[in-house]
Amino acid sequence: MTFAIALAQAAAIAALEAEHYVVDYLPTPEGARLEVGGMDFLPDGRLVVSTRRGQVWMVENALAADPKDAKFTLFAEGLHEGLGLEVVNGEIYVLQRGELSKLFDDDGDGACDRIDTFAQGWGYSGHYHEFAFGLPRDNAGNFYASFNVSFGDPHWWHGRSTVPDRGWILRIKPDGALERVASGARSPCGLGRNSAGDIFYTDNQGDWMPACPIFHVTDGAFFGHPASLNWTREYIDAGRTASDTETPERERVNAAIWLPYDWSRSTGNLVPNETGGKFGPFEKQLFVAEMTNGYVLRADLEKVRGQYQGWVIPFRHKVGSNVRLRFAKDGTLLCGFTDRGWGGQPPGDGIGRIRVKPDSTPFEVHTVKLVPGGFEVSFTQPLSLAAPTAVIAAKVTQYDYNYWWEYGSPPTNTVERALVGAALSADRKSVTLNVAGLAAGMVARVDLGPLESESGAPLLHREFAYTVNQLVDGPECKELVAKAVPQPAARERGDEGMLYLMRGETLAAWNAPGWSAGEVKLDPDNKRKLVLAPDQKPNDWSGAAVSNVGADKPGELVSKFEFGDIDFSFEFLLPEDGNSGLYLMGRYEVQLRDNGGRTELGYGDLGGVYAAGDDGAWPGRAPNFDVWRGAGRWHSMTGSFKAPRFDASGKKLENARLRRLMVNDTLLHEELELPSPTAGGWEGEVRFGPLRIQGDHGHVAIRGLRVRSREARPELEGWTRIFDGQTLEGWKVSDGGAWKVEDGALVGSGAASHIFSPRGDYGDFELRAQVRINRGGNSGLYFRTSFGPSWPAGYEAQINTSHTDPVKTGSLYNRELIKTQLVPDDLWFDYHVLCRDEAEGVRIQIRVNDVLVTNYLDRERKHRSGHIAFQQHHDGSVVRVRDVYVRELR
Amino acid sequence: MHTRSVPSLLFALLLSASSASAAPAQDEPERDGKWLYQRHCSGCHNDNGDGKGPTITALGLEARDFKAGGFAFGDSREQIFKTLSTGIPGRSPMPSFAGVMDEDERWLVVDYVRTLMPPRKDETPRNTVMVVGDKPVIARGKLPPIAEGAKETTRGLLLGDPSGMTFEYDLDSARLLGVRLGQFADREDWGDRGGAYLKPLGKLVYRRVDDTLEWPVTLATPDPKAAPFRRVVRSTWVRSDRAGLDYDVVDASGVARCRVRESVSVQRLSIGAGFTRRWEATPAPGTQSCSFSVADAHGQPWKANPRAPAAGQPARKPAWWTCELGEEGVELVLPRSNQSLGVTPSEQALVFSVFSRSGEPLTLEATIVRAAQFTQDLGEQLAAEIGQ
Repeated sequence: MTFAIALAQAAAIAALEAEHYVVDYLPTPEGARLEVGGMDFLPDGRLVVSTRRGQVWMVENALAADPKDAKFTLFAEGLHEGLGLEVVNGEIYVLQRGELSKLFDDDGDGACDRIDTFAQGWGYSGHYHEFAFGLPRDNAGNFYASFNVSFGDPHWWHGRSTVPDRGWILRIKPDGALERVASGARSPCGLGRNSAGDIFYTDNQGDWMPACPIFHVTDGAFFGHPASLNWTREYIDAGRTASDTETPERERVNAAIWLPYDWSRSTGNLVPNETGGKFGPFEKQLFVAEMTNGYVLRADLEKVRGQYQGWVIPFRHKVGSNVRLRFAKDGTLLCGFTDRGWGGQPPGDGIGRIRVKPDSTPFEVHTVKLVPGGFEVSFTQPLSLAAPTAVIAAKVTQYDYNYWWEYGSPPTNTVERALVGAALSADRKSVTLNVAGLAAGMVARVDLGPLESESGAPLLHREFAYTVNQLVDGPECKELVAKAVPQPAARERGDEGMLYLMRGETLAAWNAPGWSAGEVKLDPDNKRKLVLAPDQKPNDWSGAAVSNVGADKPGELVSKFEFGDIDFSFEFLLPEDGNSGLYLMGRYEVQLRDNGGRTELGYGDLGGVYAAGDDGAWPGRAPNFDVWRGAGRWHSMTGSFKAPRFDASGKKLENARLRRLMVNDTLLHEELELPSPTAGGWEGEVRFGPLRIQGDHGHVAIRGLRVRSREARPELEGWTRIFDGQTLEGWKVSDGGAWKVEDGALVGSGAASHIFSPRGDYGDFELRAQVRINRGGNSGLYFRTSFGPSWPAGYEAQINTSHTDPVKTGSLYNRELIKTQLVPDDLWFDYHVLCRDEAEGVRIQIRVNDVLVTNYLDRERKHRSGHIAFQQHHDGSVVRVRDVYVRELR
Repeated sequence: MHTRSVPSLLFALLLSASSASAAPAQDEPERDGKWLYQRHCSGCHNDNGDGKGPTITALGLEARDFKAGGFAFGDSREQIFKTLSTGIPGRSPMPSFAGVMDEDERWLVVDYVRTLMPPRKDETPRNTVMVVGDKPVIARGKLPPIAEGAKETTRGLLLGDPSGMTFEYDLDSARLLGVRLGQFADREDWGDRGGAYLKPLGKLVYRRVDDTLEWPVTLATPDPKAAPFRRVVRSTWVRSDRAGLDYDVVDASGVARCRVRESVSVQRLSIGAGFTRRWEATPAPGTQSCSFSVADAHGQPWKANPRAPAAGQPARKPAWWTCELGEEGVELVLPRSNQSLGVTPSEQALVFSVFSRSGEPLTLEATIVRAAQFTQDLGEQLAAEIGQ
């Protein structure tokens, strides 16, 4: 399906949805942001709302026909968030970060004046991500609350559990006692119960969570995220800490439903429809909150082989940043919104109301049941098809996921299943789909095709997804939908593979006329300017800032290296009304801009992708959200970019693509195709190009710019491993040096010496190795060199990050100088050297972490052939080399 | 405040401020903001607002420099109005002008003072700043380290008094960490994804340093295994005049031995403001006494100061306790209780023990204030002021 058709379909569905499911919004009190964390009704009919801001609002007439009649009164403030609220026997329970509280108004003035602690004692380290979510109750009167993991190294999104109960679902008993129920949660934002009183929770895609699931919460269940295991008896007794990157051996439970990622990217709570038919023909079904697309999803569960599993279907989209849903007795579905920090469907705060139009019967899928050989799908109205055999063009696709530490998983093992028969029931209200090869342990996504009702109405939502953990008729399936797969290679640190472009001599990797290094701040006398701030300390992880402050007519900041597919990341700071931009490949501009409070954002605003220059050309793309934090404040920008592709003749095969762009961790674009350079971009499109930052539109400061190449690494076919990671047999050591093998790596330490490859006739070749140098260390990769004492002759690719020698990793010693600390100390990096005789001289290319940083031609042809050697420079320096591969080029 | 005031001078200042509202002469212009300012404020803040007015200069002090844009309690109209109306508690010479100018006049002065501030773009006020109105306010959140080297308080509580004093508590241990003076708090955790600080905005004027003390409250019981005791918060509450928290003192086996209601309030005294901590304890049967750590020892021993005997009476028990703070002057603690009171010698703190008669609730109040120097007369005067 093309994007345009998908958009048109979505618009048509939205129009149809609105015909049956009416959405309106309660006006938020003046000046307040109602970031809803919990909602419930008091016995007198007032709605009580807790917010992320730690406020509790009373809403009178929340269900009035005219939303303007709703009256908000602030009941309490100053709580430490409030991401769960439940009214029990007329008493208000609010879940704060650190406790479950009961709120009282002792003097009856309408404001809370006493907060009793009902339960407390779970772990809270202070990390921002350690939210406490709640707050459903089971039939025995127990509350349930769930506790987010925090984040840390090696990636900001790697979940950690540094204090007890993080990653757990807890039961809070009627006396306030805590009881651990289940573990393995990651970001369990939504808890709820079904109409049978069983407790469920939703999680959010991330590490060990391939997509957003709905899990049945049972005692002892483990949902898959390992961090929480730190607090199991077994781990505590063994003094074990959960691994970030190894598959835990603990048995996982299946998710009752995996929500397709295009329907739910960020899931909130779920509620059962117990309105007695006042909310359409969907009694007892579950409704699920979703923030990013603003969906309300509809789901239902059945028990197969004793376990819950079920299906989900979109219900209403673009409602708002749904995080909390609550049914009112009159059949209104209240939707509580908040998108702060993530970015969701507008509105990003407040309360929406969905009502099913009284006299409309939407033509929808009513229920899906798994039956032997397929699905029985019932509808809310009879189909127009002629009985008894239906002709249905349903398309069934099955897929599963990778259970791994990477962030999310694409659908894997995707396979189409043939529809081999469809039978219509006598009342024409249900169809049995016979699906060949329907497998357990996979999700089945079913597109029913363009069905019509008897009265000619099109099927409102034609796609559902059923999570087939078990078949009703087959043998028991032992495999989970989220399949344990070999884990991707662990990275020691999050910065492995990164290339730092502003460390060491900050501007050395840039052409930077009028730019200088040094901390900056807002000019106190003129906030439309920045000034150098000698008193400010440089941010120690990202290095000093660079800025165009201080020059009359600063130029642009252009990287000396060129990049193809990269992830990029940096921080920027602008004055009031500041305006700059990052041109990817020098050509495609992402705006850096003070949004100045504008509410209608255009492509010229922060995070917008600028329009192409020519009339009628590509119109640019506005950012999804206003993420501007203010003048003089550092903002982060991270993204992923794919360069255009060309055939051998230079004809473009594939457009450039902004795969992802985030500002301040808020997602602004995904998979945005860039058909041409934007206005102000360099002309002509290329496979590799530099980064370019606009410097002539006023002051801007940048720091910590780094990239990670996403270029495919060539397969090592035809390469020879010249160091096997075990012995030094055949290698020759000069000057009695202390070289040894340790953990599969060649390690040089002690007094100065060199180690030479067994063969000494390498002429034209490529070499790849993983290299690591310690703090203050210095080494080098020699080639076309000869064995002997002291400093050998030959070419040397330098290995040095923090030694006093200003010649850094990536340099060709004494010929091509790199002064930037491209890779940190004590971290493995990929070193790639090419050396080849060409017509004009010896071509030498050096790549660090897959980026070409040195491209040199030695016209004198100084060295013809020789050994490959590594240097041990001085006592105190420690160099490690592993996975040394050579491919000869002649 | 960078000034160091002396009680007698302060007293003079307060008097001069309130006596300045003499009737205007016949030929004086309209009583606009400027006129009112020159009448009531410029003696200290000077005509041009630089804080070097003749009255305050004569005392060797300096007032707030409006020209530099600095306002201890915030520079919004509302904040300046509040400062003008209530004065600045503590040892600042800034008195309340509520009885001197009516509300309209005070607003005129506020607007005039704002013209003395450096010109600036009118920014939208940050809506994350919490302001205390006419009732105390309680806010919970993660508090930044109270001082360099201290830990952040992940489950913290700020109790803001209408006068501008803020009491900082750790809810996990129900312990007073310090007292601040100035604006109340900025909810930084309303930005980004949350989890940032509830940042108190006032200046730290008093800090408890007994972070390692196991027992801000401890009990004497016949059971030797009862200790150590910990405190578990049960409730926080706000009344019109005071606010506080309730907690259980729980023994080593997890049994609650005593329910304590602790509250704080500002104590206005002639030498400036101090504050009063109040404990109401309901010990379980068998508890012999409750001990409360009231103040730090600041490296100096606390000194008992006996009150002068009333005529024909024997010498009375110590009524106030003092601790020399060197440059900072002296800290005074004035305790009172409904039961007999003992003091536990401690290297680290001033600890009062209240002896329990079976079943009766205990109360202890302690007023804490700092002065430039201590004299017996000052002690008597303060004791009289608090009704000791």
